[in-house]
Amino acid sequence: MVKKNLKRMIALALALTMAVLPVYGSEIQNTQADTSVEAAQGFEPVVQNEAMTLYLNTSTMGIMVEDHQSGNVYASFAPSAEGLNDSWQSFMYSGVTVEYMSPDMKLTRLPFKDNATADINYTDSGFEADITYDAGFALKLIVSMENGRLTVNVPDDSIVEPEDGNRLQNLYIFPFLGATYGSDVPGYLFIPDGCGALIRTDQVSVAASGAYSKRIYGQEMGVGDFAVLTERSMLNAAEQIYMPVYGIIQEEGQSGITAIIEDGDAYAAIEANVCGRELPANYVTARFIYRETYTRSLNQSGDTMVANQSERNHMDIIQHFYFLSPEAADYSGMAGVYQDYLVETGILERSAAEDERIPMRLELLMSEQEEQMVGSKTIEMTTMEQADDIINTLCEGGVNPITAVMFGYSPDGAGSASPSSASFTRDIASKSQWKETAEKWAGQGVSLGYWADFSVGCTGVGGYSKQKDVAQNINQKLLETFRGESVYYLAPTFVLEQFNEEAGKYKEAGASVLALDTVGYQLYSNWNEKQPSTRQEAMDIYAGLSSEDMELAVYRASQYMWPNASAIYEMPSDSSNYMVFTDTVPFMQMVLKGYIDYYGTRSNFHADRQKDLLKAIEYGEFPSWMITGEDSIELLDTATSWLYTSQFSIWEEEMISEYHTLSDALGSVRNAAMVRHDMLTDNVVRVTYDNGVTITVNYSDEPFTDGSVTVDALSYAVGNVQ
Amino acid sequence: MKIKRFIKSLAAAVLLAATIPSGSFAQEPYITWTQGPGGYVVDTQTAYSAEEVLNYSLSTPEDFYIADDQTMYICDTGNSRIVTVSPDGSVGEYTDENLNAPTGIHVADGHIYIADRGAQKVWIYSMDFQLERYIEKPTEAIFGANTNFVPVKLITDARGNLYVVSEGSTAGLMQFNPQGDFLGYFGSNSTNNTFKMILQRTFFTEEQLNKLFKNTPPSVTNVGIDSQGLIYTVTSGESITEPIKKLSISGLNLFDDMVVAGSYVDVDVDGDGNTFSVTTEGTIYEYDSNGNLLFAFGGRDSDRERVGILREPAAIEVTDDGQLYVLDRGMGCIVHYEATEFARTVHEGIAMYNDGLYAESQETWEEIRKMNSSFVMAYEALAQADYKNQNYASALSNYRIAENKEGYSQTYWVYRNEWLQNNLGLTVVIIIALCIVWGVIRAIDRRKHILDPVRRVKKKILNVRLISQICFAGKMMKKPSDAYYEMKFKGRASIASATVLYIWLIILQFTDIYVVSYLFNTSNPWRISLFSEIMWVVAPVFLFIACNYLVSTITEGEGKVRDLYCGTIYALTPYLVFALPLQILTHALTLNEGFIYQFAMFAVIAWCVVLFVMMIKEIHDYSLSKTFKNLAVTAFTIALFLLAGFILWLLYGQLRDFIISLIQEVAARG
Repeated sequence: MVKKNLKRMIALALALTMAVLPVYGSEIQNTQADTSVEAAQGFEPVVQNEAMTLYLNTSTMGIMVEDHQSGNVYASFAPSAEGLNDSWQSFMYSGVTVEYMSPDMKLTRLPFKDNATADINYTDSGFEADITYDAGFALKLIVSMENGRLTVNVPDDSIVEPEDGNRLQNLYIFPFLGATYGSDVPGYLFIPDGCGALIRTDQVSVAASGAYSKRIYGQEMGVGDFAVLTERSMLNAAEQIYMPVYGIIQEEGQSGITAIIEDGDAYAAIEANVCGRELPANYVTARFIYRETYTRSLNQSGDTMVANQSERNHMDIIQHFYFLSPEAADYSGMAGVYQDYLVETGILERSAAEDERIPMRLELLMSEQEEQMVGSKTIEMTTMEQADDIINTLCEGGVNPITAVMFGYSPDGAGSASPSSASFTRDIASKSQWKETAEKWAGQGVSLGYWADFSVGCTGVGGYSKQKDVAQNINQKLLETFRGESVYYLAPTFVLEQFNEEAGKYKEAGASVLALDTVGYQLYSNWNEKQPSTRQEAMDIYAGLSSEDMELAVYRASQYMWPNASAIYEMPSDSSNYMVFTDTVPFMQMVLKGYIDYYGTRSNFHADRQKDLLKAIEYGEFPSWMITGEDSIELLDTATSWLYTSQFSIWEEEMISEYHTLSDALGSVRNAAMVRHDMLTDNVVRVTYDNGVTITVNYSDEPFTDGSVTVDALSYAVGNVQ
Repeated sequence: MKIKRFIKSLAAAVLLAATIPSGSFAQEPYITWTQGPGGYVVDTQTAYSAEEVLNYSLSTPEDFYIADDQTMYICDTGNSRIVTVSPDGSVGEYTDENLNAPTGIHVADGHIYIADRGAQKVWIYSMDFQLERYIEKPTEAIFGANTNFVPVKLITDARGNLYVVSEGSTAGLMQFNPQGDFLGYFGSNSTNNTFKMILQRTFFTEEQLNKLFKNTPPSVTNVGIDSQGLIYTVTSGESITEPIKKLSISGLNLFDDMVVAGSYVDVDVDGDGNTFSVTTEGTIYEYDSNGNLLFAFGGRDSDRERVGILREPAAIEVTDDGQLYVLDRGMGCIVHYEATEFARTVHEGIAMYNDGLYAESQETWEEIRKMNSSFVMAYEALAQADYKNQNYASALSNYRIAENKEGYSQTYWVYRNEWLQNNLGLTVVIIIALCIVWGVIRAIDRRKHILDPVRRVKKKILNVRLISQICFAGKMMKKPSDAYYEMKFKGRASIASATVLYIWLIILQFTDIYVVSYLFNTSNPWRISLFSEIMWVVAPVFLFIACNYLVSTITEGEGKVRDLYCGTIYALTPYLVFALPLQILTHALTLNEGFIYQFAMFAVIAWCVVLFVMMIKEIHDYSLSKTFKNLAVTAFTIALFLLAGFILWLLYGQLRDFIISLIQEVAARG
């Protein structure tokens, strides 16, 4: 029986090699052929069911998964390639790799192969391996294959560190699962950067390096090197990762893997590499970070030393690998798999909205403070009458429903109004007046909301204590940044306190929506001894923010906010556009459409009106505007000077006409889910929804036709409307 | 954000990981800036979007050129070859044993001109790369035997003359005729005379002077040409006063007062005369044909390479259909940007404006102003359009925001004209009527003394001590020496009255900001700092009083502090009396008539100075020469006071910082 399996193994390995690795230089081909047999040796089947079979190699902890329905075989090991040193080779063979830091700050990578032993208990669905490294580290790896997916689990309490001062830094689990090799592979890596990006593995990259590495949910400011922004930068920040999901398509329409991190995402980074000078492998994996190094200053004269976190990050790692069927072997399929997972785990719920009309997010800047020599002056940018007028004009123009989010309602103005509180400046309106206005507008289909940011502390705004409430990094330095002026990041526990205190008051002021800024995308650990919190705790706190009688809209919401978010504002609509990326895809949009309403970036700032409108149609985004009654030139000397155009009288026409264009395009898919996103040509995109409707968008200067549908230049066409 | 900070922040892009509140997570990795009112620099929509990075396996390429047929010629300097990219994308290369280190290229009139720094020659090839001839170090006498010939960049003009940038040459561009004869130099930079240099030249000996570095002008580092044949030079380096010059036929710089920051490396001009330039920091600037800043974007990023961020730009090229290319020597690639709808609209507006089609351009400029309410050029253009359309009130407000006092003055002249035409008749009639009424009243008064109650009230008011002391100032203007005598010995002025007058002086500073019309107002309307305006007047006065008293007491001056306090303000009586009426008068004047206001103010101030000197003389009872000596010593004392104060303030600052950091440390660790 063993012999038969071995033969089957060899055949499978060869088939895998042939199926996955197209024409190569003879050198590489030879090594593939040579080592595939060797690599396939040592693999024993562990779990076998109708759908899949899981194989394990106990000397490397490498695994192989065979998908019976499609015939695809995935391996977690890499065939050795000429020129790679031994340590890389063991890394590419091993299933589990640990990196540790010695007391003299030297990082050593420890792959399983030749460096560890495993004590394996086989279970019905997989196995539990008690892994012990010769260097003294130990952990438990639980692998199970159920419901067509592979789940790995590393419990925190199973981790043991040696007494000799070596500390566990990073952990990789099956980093090369599904990886491909060479630069001619007709597939791609999916990186959840911004709204989603692809790195095609059959294109020569212009980037100097084919590597990518980024922390999930933003840089960790509490530990690690983080230069403080002290003035306005010339550049926009790169996008960050909002979703703990990644994947690789080995060949579009054939095979691929989607990996989702259920737990441990707060401390994970996504790393990827496309075949290049450094390594001939195309892979994407998660690196679980137990410790980070940081620079500690020793004295005033600037001497520093590099130090390591003493207490490690505690997390129970739970990660799922899904093996894509040929029909789902592309990024649309990946989005579908991820979406199903989110629905199963209750993170996402299908939107119950019945309304066929698309909503508009209208942000109104009511007042702002301008610094004078002594004190500050209130600039009334929008009076209540003007606001009323704006709402009426829009409603009469057919724009409905509207969520009107208020900025600058408090005595602190708009730009420096955090931590926000439900106090209302009489210059605009009192609390009761707001409540009345809210009731009036509700009758017109307009919900009133307030912008609130409890995470940032501006100077001159009271309500927080610099000693207690400002977050500190591991060096006990205050976390600050530049937002028009130097501001502080506040302790997550304070954010919760503030939210609990103020949310009710906003409700009393007529709010049906509370728009939360910063909590959706800025995670950090707080080392302030008065109220410390870890990154995971911050995530849990933010994820727990909810209100019974108000809806929460979240700016740039990461996955942990999705259960409680009723809408997402400033939806990421681009990736960071690194040179190593080959495409940007609306993955996040595909996941959320039909589940959570999302609104695009403010239309005030669009440089190409027609093209940006087409993009909103392609991405299924609802329109947003930031509007004032007065000319925005009044804001030149304030913290909101970045708002360079906002007057309603200027934009009135565009607001209504663009709303109607979007309405015509997206009305039939208002609550539908996006199932496919395909690039028909370089400039033509087709999006397909679950109710059968297709929207084809043509960005080129020539009309496009493919038989079923004709689209004019710089235009769109909606098809199959029932 | 004012220009000064703009320069600082452009030159120092900081590693960032923090965010700007919901403001700009826009598509591009860079923020685009433009000129706003009041010297501010403001955000604006993306003008050029980063499209792609083109890789042709280049090694430290130094220059490239896009010919009229859209073929790109690249100097692949590190590989000693020329790479050509045709419009359909096919890539070719050319190399031969002549090409050593090609660093400059220009294609025109059926020739390919290559500046070769390694071979120190200019190669001239035909379009199919046959070597036609070359230019090496000129033998003409005017060139100079000891001058180096290291050609790095070049251009040709419509007649086939070559302009070559030679590395290190401080005499400007080298000019050659189509036959290759050296004609002379063109477009050198000027030297900077600093105060230190002047002092050195005055006081140093020959020997010492010889040891100093020669004060030579900075070398021109790159060159460009526009469709009209005007030549542009670029000078790299920090703190170069004119890094980009647009040279007239005689070599004068047509660009005036440009907004610049960083070290520029190359320039290119599109068909409309818009000038594009890039700096070593990776920032791209676009100016219009007059040198006004239109857009600035890009910078250095230490984050992983993003499309659109430059590492080490070497050259820039722009095509007439809105495509912008930057050659990056560090990455060995070309980054391709494309003009957005916004930028195209701005270009349209500018083209019409520069052609003088003000009224026609109005719609376009309204569109631009809509997209960015702080785009200062829009206001300028709209003001001109309004003027042409005779909407003078609107033109005035637009000129004001555009800070164009000339335009405002011109418009105001016409506006005032209209007002006068409409209202002059009525005004004259009213004045005549008032005169008649006044004459009648006086006539009746002579007979019936009906104004006596008024006179009694007037007398009663004047009898109040304070009022009489204030009105005493009037005597100051008529008979100053008598007035001072009376002030000293007869108590005709008191501290209270002087204080009232000081308050009035302070109020005049307020009115100087708010009452004076826009044309003559010297304060920045966007940044009025009342406090500093007041301090500029009050502080010197009090400083003077204190120092003068100190100096006078030790030089046998008779004046008491009280006398000085009163005397100073009373000496300023002409200003106190005439300032406000003059300020109000400015509303009736245009810049052409400005001399009236200037002259009047000058006369008033001169009068004050005379009274002032007299005051010192009379109060201290000095002779005239001693008065001047006293004033000089007082000035010196004031300077010493200020210096001492400055040092104390610095020390205080240090002490305060120390205490604060001490407290912070204790709080953080305790």
